[in-house]
Amino acid sequence: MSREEPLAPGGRALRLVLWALALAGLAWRVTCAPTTPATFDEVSFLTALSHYDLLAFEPHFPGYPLAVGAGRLAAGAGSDAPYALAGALLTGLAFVALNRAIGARSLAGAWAIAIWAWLPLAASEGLRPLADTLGTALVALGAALLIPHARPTLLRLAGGVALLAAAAAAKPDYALFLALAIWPALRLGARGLATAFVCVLPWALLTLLAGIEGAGGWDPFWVEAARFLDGHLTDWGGLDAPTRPRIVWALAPLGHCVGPPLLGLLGTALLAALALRAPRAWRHLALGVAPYGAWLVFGQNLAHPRHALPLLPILLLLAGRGLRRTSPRIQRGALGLVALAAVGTLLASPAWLEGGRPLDALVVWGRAHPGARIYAGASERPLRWHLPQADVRRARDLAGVRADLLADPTPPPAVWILATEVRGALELPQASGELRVLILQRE
Amino acid sequence: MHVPRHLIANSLPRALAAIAICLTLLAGSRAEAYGYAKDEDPLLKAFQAAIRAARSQAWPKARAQTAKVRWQLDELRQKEDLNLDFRQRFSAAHSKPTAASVTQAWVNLVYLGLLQKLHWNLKEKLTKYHPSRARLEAARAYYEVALAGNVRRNDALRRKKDPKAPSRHADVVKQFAAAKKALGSPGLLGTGKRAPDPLAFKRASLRIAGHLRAVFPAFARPGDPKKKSSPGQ
Repeated sequence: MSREEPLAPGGRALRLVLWALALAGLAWRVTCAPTTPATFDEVSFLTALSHYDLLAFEPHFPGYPLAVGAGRLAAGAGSDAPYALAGALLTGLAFVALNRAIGARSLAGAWAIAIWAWLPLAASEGLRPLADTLGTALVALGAALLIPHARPTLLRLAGGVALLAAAAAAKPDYALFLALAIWPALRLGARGLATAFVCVLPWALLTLLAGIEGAGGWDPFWVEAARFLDGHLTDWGGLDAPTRPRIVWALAPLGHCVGPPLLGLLGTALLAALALRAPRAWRHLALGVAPYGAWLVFGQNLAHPRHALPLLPILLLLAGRGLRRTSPRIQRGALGLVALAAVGTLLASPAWLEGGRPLDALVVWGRAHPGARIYAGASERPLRWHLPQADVRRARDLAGVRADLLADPTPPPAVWILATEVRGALELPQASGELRVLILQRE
Repeated sequence: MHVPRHLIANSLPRALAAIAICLTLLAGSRAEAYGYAKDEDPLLKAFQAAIRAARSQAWPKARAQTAKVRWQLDELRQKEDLNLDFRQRFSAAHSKPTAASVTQAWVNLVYLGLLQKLHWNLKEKLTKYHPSRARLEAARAYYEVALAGNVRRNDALRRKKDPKAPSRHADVVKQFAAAKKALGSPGLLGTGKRAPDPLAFKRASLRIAGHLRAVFPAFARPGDPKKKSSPGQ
């Protein structure tokens, strides 16, 4: 079946319900967002609200100037969760654009934004003080303007490219989504390419100048750029030998995005099946995300599902357009995916909220044991944020812990190690939760 | 233009290798640290190697580390620096070494390194944000790696006598936070810029130095009368 079906009876009320559900999802993010950090990167963005120092990871390289600027504006307006607020506002705008792009009066448009609002991946990331949600909303806004039209206009191209370049100023690796503009720009010829260049330039300059200023000059900026490129290729990125087998993880976040893992995989398969029904001309969207997809798999830290987030609105654009070409029965059946996404989020959400995050349990333990030395990996920084007087140190593996203790002029009689982050610590006796204890001398 | 297929087949691996080499060169040496690179601080690296050597009584290894911090000893005795010649005392600790004497000499050196960082920030009146921040981050790392353990022990000892005794460690941590705030902020492209507050930085630095002086009374420090003292005292 290839023709587009009219709205089923009662479709208008259903659309309104889906819109209300989507907006409730955004309101839930803003009201429930934690105000303290639980991860290394969250500390980076929260401290960037008052300092902008890339060498102190406030935020980390390359600077995320638009996201930090938006966060500062929201914080200035009195928000306790400024990144969640800025992200939710932009996502609200992206809902309108996505709905319009799929078909303003279609059930599919409202269906797509309701899924986006309640997808566990999108909902959990929308709570966090990071740049991903804001950047993803800008990618969606840009992509919605660049979807195939019989006759692309310079104005649409300029708007789309400017929004994608803004997304890159919020999260620089999103610059790869500018590939979405290649086909429309080529169709418009030399004027199209010149327009695209002019629209990218101010955002590129903003990002570069902010980065140079944040690093304290061109030389430290370059040194930091080289370090981060090296880190992405060899330390934590997809090309790192230990993480390479996890390439499949790059796809897992999409599976995880629609509820509990197995159901999520089924949900993603259904979304993909619907996306395949999108009009042939829309498939350039899939080609346009290929460069980012390759970066996600080979250069990004696959341990963080959030890097798959900007692929979701593109998938939903295609799936929503595909849904319009199905029968009213299938359209109503697709509402099950909204329910699945919402149930998935509500079931998983206690672990994302203040007090329920894995780090919160560690903080409680640390407060109860003020003299204890804790070794952790990436959690070292948020632990220090919560427990500034505690003895928290960073280590990659058990050998690193032992080396640090040997070089300590006053080693404690015992240390506690976060086994999920320090390799080799799982062999030690369990102390509490993920903490293992290493006894150095009996008191 | 026709390009023979075998030429492409031969050139492709070379081109890929060239790209890999370029990426490697661009990335430089393998990054072990990012940002202010506290893990690469030469004083801390030598300190940790020396303590490890002292633990295993590998004295030649401990002595080898002293050569790696000669620059630090030379800097400290400059008039515009701390104006303190620690060389004799430092080398005396390694001439008839014991684990305690070597450890104490190195902790003393790191302590002087901490004072030196605060000194230069005060001298420059925090006019350049990034160098000031780098020094403060280094000073804090010196405190945490080499000195905090003894400060905590001192807290515990004092609290045995008086359970209500205030924690020096807690105050040092608080003063490092105050010193960071006093650096100001360069802002994001000028927006949100805050000017530095050298007076607040001085207050915080004096408190940190005061606590350390109380915990390490035998350490060599700037302003001491010139006297010969044994490193183990």
